[in-house]
Order: sequence, then structure tokens, then C-alpha cells
Amino acid sequence: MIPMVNPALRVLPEIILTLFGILVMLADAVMAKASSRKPLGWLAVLGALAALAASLWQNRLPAGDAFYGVVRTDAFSVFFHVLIAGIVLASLLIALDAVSDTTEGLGELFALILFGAVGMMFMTSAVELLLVFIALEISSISTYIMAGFRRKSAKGPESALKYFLLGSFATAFFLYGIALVFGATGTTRIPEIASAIAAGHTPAIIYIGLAMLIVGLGFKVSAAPFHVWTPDVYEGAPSPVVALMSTAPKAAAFAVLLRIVYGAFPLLHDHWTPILWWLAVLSMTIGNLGALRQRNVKRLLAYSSIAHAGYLLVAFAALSADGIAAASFYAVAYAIMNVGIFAVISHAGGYEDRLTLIDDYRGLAWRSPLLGGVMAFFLISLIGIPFTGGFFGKFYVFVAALHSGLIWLAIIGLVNSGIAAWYYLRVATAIYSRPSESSPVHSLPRPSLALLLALVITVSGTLILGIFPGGVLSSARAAAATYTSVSPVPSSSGTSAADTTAQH
Amino acid sequence: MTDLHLWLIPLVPVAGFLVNGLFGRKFPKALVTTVAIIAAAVPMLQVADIALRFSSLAKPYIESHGTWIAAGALHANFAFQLDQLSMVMLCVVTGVGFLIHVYSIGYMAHEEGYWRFFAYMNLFLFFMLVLVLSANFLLMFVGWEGVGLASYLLIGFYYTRDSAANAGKKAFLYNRVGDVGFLLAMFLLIAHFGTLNFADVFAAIGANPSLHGGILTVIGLLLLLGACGKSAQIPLYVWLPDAMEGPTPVSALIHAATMVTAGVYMIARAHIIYDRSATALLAVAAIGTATAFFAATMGMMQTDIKRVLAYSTVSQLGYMFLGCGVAAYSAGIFHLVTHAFFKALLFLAAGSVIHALGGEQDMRVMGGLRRKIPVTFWTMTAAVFAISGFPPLCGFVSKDEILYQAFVSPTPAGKVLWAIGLFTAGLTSFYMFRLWYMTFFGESRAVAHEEEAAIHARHDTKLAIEAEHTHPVHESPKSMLVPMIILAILCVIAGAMGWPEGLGGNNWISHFLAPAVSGAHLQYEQARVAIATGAVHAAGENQSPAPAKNLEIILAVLSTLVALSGWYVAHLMYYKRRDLPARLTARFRAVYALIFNKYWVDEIYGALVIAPVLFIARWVLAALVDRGVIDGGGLLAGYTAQGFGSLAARIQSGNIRAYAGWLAACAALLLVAVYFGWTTHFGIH
Amino acid sequence: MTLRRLVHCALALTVAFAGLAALYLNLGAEFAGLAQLLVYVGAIAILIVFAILLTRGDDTAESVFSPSGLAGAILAAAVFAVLAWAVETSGIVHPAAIPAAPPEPMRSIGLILMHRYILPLEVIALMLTAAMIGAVILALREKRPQPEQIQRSSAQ
Repeated sequence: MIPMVNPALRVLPEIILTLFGILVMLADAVMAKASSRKPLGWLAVLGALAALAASLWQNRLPAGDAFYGVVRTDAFSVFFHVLIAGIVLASLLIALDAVSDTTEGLGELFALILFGAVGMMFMTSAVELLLVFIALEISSISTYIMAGFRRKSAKGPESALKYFLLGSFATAFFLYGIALVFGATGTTRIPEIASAIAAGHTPAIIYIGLAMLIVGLGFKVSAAPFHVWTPDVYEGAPSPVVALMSTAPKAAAFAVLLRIVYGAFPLLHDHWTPILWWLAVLSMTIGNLGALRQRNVKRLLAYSSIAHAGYLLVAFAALSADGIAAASFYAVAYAIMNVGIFAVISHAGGYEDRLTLIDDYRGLAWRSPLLGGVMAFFLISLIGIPFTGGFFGKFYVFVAALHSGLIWLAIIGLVNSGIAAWYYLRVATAIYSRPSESSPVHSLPRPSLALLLALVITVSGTLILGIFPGGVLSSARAAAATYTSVSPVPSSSGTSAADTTAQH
Repeated sequence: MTDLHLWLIPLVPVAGFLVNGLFGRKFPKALVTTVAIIAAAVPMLQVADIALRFSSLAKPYIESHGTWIAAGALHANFAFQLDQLSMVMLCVVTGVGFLIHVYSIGYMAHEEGYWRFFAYMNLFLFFMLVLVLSANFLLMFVGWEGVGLASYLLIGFYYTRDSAANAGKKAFLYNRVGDVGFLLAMFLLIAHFGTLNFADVFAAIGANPSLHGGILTVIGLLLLLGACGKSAQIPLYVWLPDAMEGPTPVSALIHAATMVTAGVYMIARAHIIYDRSATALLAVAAIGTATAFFAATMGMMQTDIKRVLAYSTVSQLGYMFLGCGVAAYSAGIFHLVTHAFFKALLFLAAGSVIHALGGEQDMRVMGGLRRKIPVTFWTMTAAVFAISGFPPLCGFVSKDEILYQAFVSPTPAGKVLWAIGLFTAGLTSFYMFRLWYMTFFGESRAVAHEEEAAIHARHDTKLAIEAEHTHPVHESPKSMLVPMIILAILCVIAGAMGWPEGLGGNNWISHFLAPAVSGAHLQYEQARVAIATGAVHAAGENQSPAPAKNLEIILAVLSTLVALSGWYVAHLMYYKRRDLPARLTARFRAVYALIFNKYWVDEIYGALVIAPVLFIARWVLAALVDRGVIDGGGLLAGYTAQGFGSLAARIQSGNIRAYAGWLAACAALLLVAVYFGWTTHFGIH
Repeated sequence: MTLRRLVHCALALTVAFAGLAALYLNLGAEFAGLAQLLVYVGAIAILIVFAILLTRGDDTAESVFSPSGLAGAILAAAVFAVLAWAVETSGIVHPAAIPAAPPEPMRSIGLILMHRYILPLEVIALMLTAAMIGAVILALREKRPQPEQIQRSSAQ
């Protein structure tokens, strides 16, 4: 019998973030119109820190459900809670550095970041598909709005609109998937779905439902071929927001995908592993090839993020505890380095994107060795050179894939990571070129305290993951272990009840 | 041996890197120099200390610093390993590394970004030491990638020149191809042996005498691919000549003496895998021989002094691969050592020439420098004679050992490999003496040159600052000359280490290396027996040591004659009758064009690999993925006309509709796929 | 979709809502059906019509049946066919899984919302807050002429 835990403690980080979000909005309302909104940002930072502490503290709770089996705190949810809280913290610092005192709607921006984080956190802890859906909507709606926050720019609202329309389209898939799964199994709780499937409830619509869930989540993680929105939206959204939206919602969506495929549908793995296999291959290939020709740095990084989603999906397809652990580890490694590089871009380009093309970055390292060096460092990590998190992330992913016999997938992935070096190096080379007289890098603002903090967090995180990956890896393995205990993942060659029913 | 504190060896250079990298910009030059030199000297002294205490080590000394990663099947420690092989490598890396650091003080004196250069050099030293000290494949790979990174940084040292940045990028990318091989080999090792530790993997192979070919061949070939990338062998050699864009000390240290030999070291380290796979071993030998030959032919036509040396490096590395490929690992490693001496010296001397001429690298405008820079001339001469294979210099001894081992190797291809190797030795001698004559003999073209120096230098390695004070041809400072002299002495005497038994020596180095690269392993013993019998069989006589001895003498005389003839031809063409090259060129125009253009390999790669990738990226993806997907040709044409940045085109709602249509179509496909599960039948799992 | 005037589209949407309500009622879900009728057909549709009337959206001049529209229609038909077939072959009716409608549907819905779905219910409040912020921000933007609108009209 699991000892009773006050249910509120199981959603403590979410409660804290919500309260801080409301606080930020209230304070925004009572503050004088002309006064700077930056203190609100620091308030939000405080909230993120508190949520981070609460998430870490949750590690001490015994694993278990709350609120009638709607949320579950276990090593898995805590792992992603900590990750999301960390990303939100760094993104808030980046935003604080990029905005000016007169930027419009700052209070709302900070509140939305916090509210969005609540959604993302619920995504990782929910075991009831309805709550997953609501959480997904919270996270999506806040990112839609934030993507269009730069109202004066032509691109901002446009990209937000595009994101909103396509995102709603994808969410509809997700919702329809839930409905079909409910129709097939009579439940929307993830563990109950698994047991219903084990009991033989596998009518045809459950496969359709599963496919629709994968489509909806595939959109959220921008896996090819559901990635088409990514470059446009990244280009149009303010850089601090991209730092957040390219990492935290994706990590959360990956967590949901893990929960769903390993928690609810482990027995149907014959049906979803090939799909994820193809999604991985397409994402890696289209992401990397698409990035080759980009001249806009943010579009390039958008394609790079598609490719990284592909590497992560490689681990999904591995169908083993090692695969889950590798995926979780990669999510951390990718998030940290991506937030880090957007910290630099956001500072150098500012809220209004003064620097957009690769050529605009020429000479960044000459103008500011700190920023240039840090950016080059993150590029190196994105390439996957040892002593950075990016290397071990890829390493574990491919080890897991090979362990499961996915030799071709690993080879395709390695070839892809070879191609990727090309375009990352293009950026790195530009950074270290001598700037022209009229180069926009000459008008860099001074790094603020917030930026320095964000850089310290991300650089040290990437280094720690690259040199001493042990700690994070053991947490990731603990997170992965929550699945094997709930529902043992059958070996890929084993025949299950699902196979026989699927034959007709 | 207790407590050698191996971890200190790489730690000191990385400390130097951090100090200079973080604060060097504000340091005075002298302080930067001091830090960098100390960071290079301390490891050398420590290695010297270990070497003096190093008597005989039966088992590798392994120093573990705790668990690095433990993930299920995968367990790797921060562990360093010292055995005879890493001892030899350590001596080369720290010794040559230190000398080149000293040399750089003079060579780089006028350069901008002095601190950055030394920071990167220390960083390189760190990774190289990690590479040779590591006790498992994973840590070795860290060093392996790290030296690549440092090399990228140092080649692109002259960032302002696009050619340098591109060369750095090219080196990096070609190495990435090799890395795919290395990584796959590692994954296979994990999958089959559950470990990456050298000791465990090799013990597992040793414990299973029936393990032959098969998976070991695959692993061996994949490792070979990695080695080809790092050591610039066919098909991945093209980056090395371009890497000469880097400063000359970098070429000497990284692209001659140490980093590029990492592939040879890796093969010797993993020799147990190769011993069990005749196919992989033969592949090593074949690639090595082919590379040696082709690179030598390309070296004959180059006019840039550093590029001649670059092709010569590729060629010499081919010899080392040949040595390893006939299971004579100690011969390969010995050649690695001697090559480190003479090739580092050649580069340093070339650097001294370039320095003397204010940045000139084109041999056609050199000449007559013999009397103006005598120290450079004499040290260079020692190196030229060494690499060309004149007894008793070190190059002769090591190259001859490799050729001898190839000749007596039991593989049927042994004689062919030997013949090509011998012919290549003649080519080597020819192009080295060509360089020697063109640079130091004939009438001096330096007077005419001085006026142009400033103009030329802008295109060449030495940066503008150097060129702006045009100075008369001058001998280099002491900090450059002393390392050269030391290396010259080593070139002359190092041969004694491996003087073959057949010629009255005791081949000390092969006995020294024996515990690390041979001996304890059954399979290898059999190979040795086979070699011995093969040798005897080849000589067609009875099983007594005498014929082998005679054979060795005959082969040595033969290769000396070949070297002499190479010299003679060069003498004829570039000293006595200078009109000859032009006439020969006119006569054999096709051959000349083929070789002068380096067999168009770069162009072929461009056409076969890079162009298709870019084509796909550009057209297929641009049309299908990036800009609006389905919505008819008219819209697409509109995009193409308006180009990349035109937001007005992209924001049309038609675009969103196209995106949505694309999403829906893909989703529909996915529904069908999941429902019918047909992808399972593709045999993915 | 095929209608040119935005108002007509809105009215068509209302008809679709009403049809959905009828479907609910037909399935025996009185509460859901009536709620659908009252909230969507009654309130939301009128709101949409008002919004359209107030903002005077442009009518599109595009042709009704573009090739892409046709492709979309075919695609939709194909997806529908697959879905319908899947549902048909599933033998969806699990008597055990779908309990008979409880005697007091509203009461049981209320109870289940307050028990099992209490947390999702609360979290929806947060979602609405976020959506509201977004609406406010979007509404604020409408006050100013937007550069991209100018671009858009010039592009057409």
C-alpha cells in the first residue's frame, strides 16, 4: 500500500507556477503604466526557481497517482518536470536580457511563459488522456500567443497565425485519437488502456486512434513530415520565445509520446515502431538537408531542431529501457544546447532580430569573444563532438538503436550527423570571420546579468552532460525503469495478442 | 610501477589552454609564451621520468579514475593505460610537441592572435595525450575527435582568409566520414563484447580462439575507415594537402608528426582484431600501399613547398599502413617514430625557408638559398636524406623494415605490395631531391623575390604583418633553429633503435614493442610462424637464419639503389639539365595533366557526392518541403520568382492551406500505415 | 468552404452545430445535445455572426473549385472512407465498455466532473486564462493598421 500523500503535493510545481503567473499578472495590472516591467520577469524567475526546487523535492515522494488517477508522480515525471523548470528558468533570463523596458506586453509574456510551463508539466505527469489534451492545449495556446508577440514586425503575427491554425489542426487529430481510443477501450486512462489492450480489446479503430495520437504529437515535436510549420514560426517568433518553444514543449510532447506508446500501447509495438522508424529517418534527413541551404540562422536552427527530433525518435524506435533512457537524456542534452544557442542569438539579434542571416553573424567572435566563443561551443555540441552533451546524447541514442538491432537506423543517423556538421560549421566559420565595417555585430549591447546567468546555466549544463553524464543518465534510467515495471516491454520478436487480432 | 600519475600528463596542457584561452588576450606576450611552454614541457619531463623508470612491463599499467558512464551494458571508466605502445607514442607526442612549441615562439612572433595560437596548441596536446593514453575506445574517441577539433581551429587560424576557413571545414568534414566508421565499430564492439575497454575486448577475443573473420572483419574495416579519415588515406586523404593553409608549426605537429598518425596508432592498438581477420589486414595493406604510391606521384608535381611535404606525409602514412597491414605493427610504429622526426624537421625547415623569404611558399621562385640560410640547409638535408631512405639515417631503417616485412609476409599479395612500395621509395627520393634542388641550389631568385614578397605574402600562410616589413633573406632565430638541430640529430641517430638484425643490429624497438603489439596472442604467434616459414620459402632455402639475413641485406641494398636512382633523376632534371622537366611535360601531356590535377579526385567527389546532396537539398526540398507544398504550380512559380526572403509571398493563406493539406495527406498515409501495419513487413526489426 | 461570403459560411457552421446536436439527441445524450443546441447554435453562432458583421471581413475572390480544393476533397473522402471502414469493422459496440445512460445524466455528469475529472476541470480554467490573454492581445492589435495587412492586400 502506497502511503497517503497529500494530492496537492503531487502537483506542487504546477501550483507554484500558476500562483506566480497570477501574481505576475496582478502586479502588472497595479503597476504604473510607464514603469519598467522587468521586475516582473525577475518575479517569474523566482517562480521558476521555486518550481524547480519543488520538482526536485518531488523526487522524495513515493511514486503514485493523485486526483482519482489523473496525474502520476514518478521518476519519469520528475525528470521532465526538472527539465521543463530549468528551460523555463533559462528562457525567462534570456527574455529579460533581450527585451527593453518599453517592450509591449511584458507582463503578459512572463505570465504566459509560466502558464505554458504549467501545461507542459501536466503533460509529463498526466496519465489521463483528457488531462494530457488540456495540458497540451495550455502549452500550445501560450506558445501560439507568444510566437506572435512581436506585434510591430510583419512576420510575428503571421507566424503566430500560421502556427495557431496548423496547431489547432494537429490538436484536432490528437483529440480525435483520444475519442477513438476511448471508443475502442472504454477508457482514457493510460494504464487502463494498456490493460484493455492486454485483455484483447483491439478493434480496428484503436490503430486509427493510435495513428492520430502520433500525428498530433508528431506535429508538436516537429517531426517530419509534420514539421512544415517550424521554419516559418521560428523565423517570425522573438528569439527568447523560440528558445522556449523549440525545447520545453517539445520535451513535454516527447514525454507524452513516451507515456502513450510505452505506457498505453506497448503491446501494439509492431504497429508503432515502424512508424517511428520512418518518422525518425524522415526527420533526420529532411531536417539536415533542409538546413544545408538556409541562409537565415533561425530557419537553419529550425531545420536543425527537426533533425534533432529525428535523432530522438531513433531512441523511441529502439523499444527498450535503454531507448527510453537515451531519449530522455537526449531531450535534456538537446534542450540545454538549443536554449544556449538561442541565448546568444537572442542577445546578439535582440528582441527585434537585428541579425537574421548567417552573414550578419560574421565577426561576432571578433566583436565579442565571449558570445562568439559560447555560440561556437554550442554549435560544436550540436554537431556532437565529445566533451559536450550533444556527443553523449547521440552516442546513447545510437547505442540503444544498435542494441535493438536497428543497424540501418543507426547508420542513417550517423551519416546524417555527418552532414549536419557542414551547416553548423558554416555558422561557426562566419562567427570567426573578420567583420566588415558596416556589419551589424558592431552594435552589440552589453551582456546583462540575466544573460550571463543563462549562459552559465547552459554552458555548464552542456559541459557536465559531456564530461560527467553519469548523474543525468542514472536519472534517465530511473525514469525509464518506471515503464518496465508498469508494463514489461515485450521483445520485438515476440508475438502478442495484438498481433493475432491485427491479422484479420 | 606504482602511481605514475598518468592523469597529470594531459592535465597540464589543458590547464595551459584554459589560462591562455581565458586570459591570454590581456597577457603580455612573454607570459603567454611561458605558460604555453611550461604546459608543453611538464608532460615531456614527466614522460621522460616515466620512461627512465620504465624497464619491462609485462602487463599494461592501467590507472582508473572512477566510473565515467555506466549505462546497462555500457560501462566505461576514466582510465589511462600505459604500455610499450603508449610509451613510444607519449615520447613522440611530448618530445616533438615540445620542440615545435619552442619553434613556434620564433615563427609566430609577429602574428596577430599569438595567445590564441598557443592556447589551441596546448588544447591539441591535451587531446592527443588523451588519445594515446586512453584505456578504452570511448576515451580514445574523445581524444580522436578532440584533435580533429583542435586541428580545425588551428587550420582556420587565419580566419580572415576564406581558403583557410574552408580548408579547416574540409578537414573536419572528411574526418566526420571516418568518424562514422569509428563510431559504428564502437557500437559493434559494445554489442558483441559488452565493453569498450581495450583489455577486456582483447581478452575476450584472446579467450575465444575460434573467433575469426566475420564480425571482426567488419569491425576491423570500420576502424580502418576511421583511420583513413584521420590519417589521410585513400579515399579520404584529400583534406590533408588543403590543411597546409594552417601555420607551418601546425603542419609540423598535427599534420605530420602526431595527429595524422593516430590512425596507425589505432590499428596497432587494435591489432588483435586485425590479427584475426586476414581480409581487414589485407585491406589495411592495400590501402596503405595504394595511398603511398598515388600520393608520391602527386607530390612530384607540386610547386608549393608545403604541399609537396603534405603529399609526402600522406605517402609515408601509407607506408605505416602497409607495415601494419602485413602484421608488422612494430615496423609501422617505428616508421611512425622516425617519420615524426624527419617530417617534423622537414616542415620546420620549410617553415624556416618561408620565414626567411617573408612568406613565400612557391618553390619556383626559390633557389640558391644554400649559403644564405646554412643551418636550415643542413638540417633540411639530413631530413631529405632520411626520408629518401639513405642508410644509415632513420628513414632508411624504418622504411626498409616495412618493405622487408611486406616481402616476407605470407599473404600472396606480399611481393606485389613490396614492389610497389619499393618503386614508391624511388619516387619519394625523386620528389624530395627535387624540392631540395629547387629550394637551395641553382641561382638565387631571392633578389627579385624580395620586392614581391609583400604582394605574395598576402596570399600565403604568413600573415600580412609578417610581409609588411620586407626584410632581406635571413636565417631564423635561435628558438627556431635549436629544435631543428635537435631533430636533425635524431634523424641521424634514431635509426639505431631499430637497426635490423640482418644487418648486424638488434632491432631494439621491435623487441621493446613486442609485449604490446604481439606475443601473448596465440593467433599472432601462428602468424609469426607463417611469416617465418613464408620468408624461408620465398628465399627458397632451408630453415636456417642465414638466408633470411642474406635476404635482408639484398633488399636493403636494393632499396638504397632505388633511392640513389631517384636522387640521380632529380639531379639530372633539376640541377644539371633544367630544361628537361618542361620537355618531359610537353611529351607526356596527358599523364602530366592527370597527375598535376591530382587525378581530379576533389572534382570527382564534388560531382559524385557533394553536388547530388546539394541538389537534393536545393530543389527537391525547396520545392517540396520548405515553401508551400502542394498548392499548384502557379504559387510555386511565384515563390521562385520572389526568392527566399519574400514574406509577402509566404504569408498568403494559400500557403497555410498547402501546409494543412500536406499535414492531412501525411496523416492519412500514417493512418493507413499503422492500421495495416505493412511497414512491419519491411523487416525493420 | 465553398461559399464565398463569410456570413454564409457562418450560417453553414450553425447548421452543422445543429446537426451535431441532433446527433447527440439521437444517441440518447439529452444533456449534451441540449447544451450543444443552447451554447453553440444559440450563443456562439450568434457571436460569430455579430463579429463578422462588426469587422466586415473581405470576401474572397478565389474560384470555388480550385484543383487543390478538389484534391483536398478527394483526400478527405479517402480519409473518411478509411475511418468509416475501420469503425465499421471494429464492431465498436462493447456493451461492457459503454454503460447504459444513467437515469440522471446531469447529476452523474456533475458528479464525475467534481470527482474523477476535478483536476482537468480546474486546469481548463488555466487554459481559458491563457486563451483570454491571447484574445486580449489580438484584440489590442486590431486597433492599429498592420504592415502585413497592407502587404497582404498589395500582394493580391
